[in-house]
Amino acid sequence: MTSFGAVFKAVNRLKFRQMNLLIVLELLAIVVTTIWTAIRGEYSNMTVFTTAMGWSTVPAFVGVILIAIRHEKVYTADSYRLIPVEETKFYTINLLSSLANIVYLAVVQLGIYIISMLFGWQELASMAKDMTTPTHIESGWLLMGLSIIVLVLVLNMVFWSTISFVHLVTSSASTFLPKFRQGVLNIIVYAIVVFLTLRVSGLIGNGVSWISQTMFNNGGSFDWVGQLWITIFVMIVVILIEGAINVLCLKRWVETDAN
Amino acid sequence: MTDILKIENLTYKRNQRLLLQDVNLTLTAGKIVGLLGENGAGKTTLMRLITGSAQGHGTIMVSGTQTPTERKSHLSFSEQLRGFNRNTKVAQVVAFYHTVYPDFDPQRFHELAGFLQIDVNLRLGALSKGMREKLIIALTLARQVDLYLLDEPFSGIDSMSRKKIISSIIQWMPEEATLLISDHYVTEIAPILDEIVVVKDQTIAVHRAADEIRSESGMDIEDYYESLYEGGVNRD
Repeated sequence: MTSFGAVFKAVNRLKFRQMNLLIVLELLAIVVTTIWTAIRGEYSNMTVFTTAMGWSTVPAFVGVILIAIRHEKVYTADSYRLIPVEETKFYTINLLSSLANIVYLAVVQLGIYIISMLFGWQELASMAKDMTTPTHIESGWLLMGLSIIVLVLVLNMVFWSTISFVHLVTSSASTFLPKFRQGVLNIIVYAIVVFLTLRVSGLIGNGVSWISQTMFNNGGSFDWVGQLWITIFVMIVVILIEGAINVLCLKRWVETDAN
Repeated sequence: MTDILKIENLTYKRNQRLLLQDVNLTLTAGKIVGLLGENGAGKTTLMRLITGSAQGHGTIMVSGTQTPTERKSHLSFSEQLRGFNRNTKVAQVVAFYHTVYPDFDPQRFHELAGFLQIDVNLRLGALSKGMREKLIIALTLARQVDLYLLDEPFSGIDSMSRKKIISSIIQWMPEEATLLISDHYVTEIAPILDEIVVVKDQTIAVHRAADEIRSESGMDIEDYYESLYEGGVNRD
């Protein structure tokens, strides 16, 4: 049997390369935008920081999508499915590798922020002096930061896990249904998932505005961190349930793309 | 003789369409077996069922192991490298195989690559069809396993490359291993076959030793195979 480390390395290879390509493109975009700003005579000490902030959403968004595509391809390519490794282990490794890549991308983004902040350090320092932070946030900033980071990571995992769920369930249907009925089932599954995604997005949007309102207006009397962890716990349960179904589909029904 | 492959009562359906039914087949160690049949007869499907890439009903055992995960560690299949991008270098594919298959022998691969004249510095997208097929053969044979499955290794490639591939099979296949090679053209592979298996009418229609066919029917393998489709040979 192939070891955990070997499978991780194999599954991770192309995802990691895509993330690096994305980072190179982002850096290129920051440099070109900054030079263009300087050519137009609008350069200031804050230019690099604001440009880096502006571009950072693109790799974050594209990175999650690229990882999702690679994540799914692994399940139907013989190159990966012929590796002698048990399906539960294979599924877990794939999910962990996707998580590792998004963490890597986030850490690099943080590095880019820090470096870009150095260009406008004095301005940023004076802006920070003028800002006032509610005392309850000031005291619990570490827990707050940690909770939000975990929430974002778990949210990414729910996203990939749900895409796998749709992919593997519709793929499994080919075992039982004739082609026409399979098409109908696919439409039904897609409709359900789109509906659920919209509902969950709405709930997340409401949750975010509720958290910010509670944080800044409630004087710290409300245990918003506790509520956040309940949300994280619920999402982990969703990941586990979808994971169990996905592994079952992989074991019993999901086939690779034929030669 | 040790059974390398044992298939019992295997049935396979996809989209409610029956593709293979009641397949029974036993292959012993140290044989080169031709898996023959028309296009669409189910040769590739049968190989995919053996590897676990497709899921049917019935029993498949490779070297005494039954679960797909265990079977995979005893067989090497000529997969089409679809998991790689076109700009992946051959050397990176070799590194991938070395990472994921503990039985992959890089030394053996480089010997095969030298013999088949494969340039490991090229990217997959730059390989001709014949060169890509040679690479797949080299990767498949560079593993040290009990059962090798070569799925139509000669489709769309020139006769010189076919001869090279056949030579590499003879030279690098371990003596105690079994090779199942599928094709719908019999001419090139007929001389190296110990046995033939013909997939016809959704099942194994014939499984006979090549020498037995030659001595009993007085035909060569190609004529015998063609006669199956003309109704000229009584298979009972």
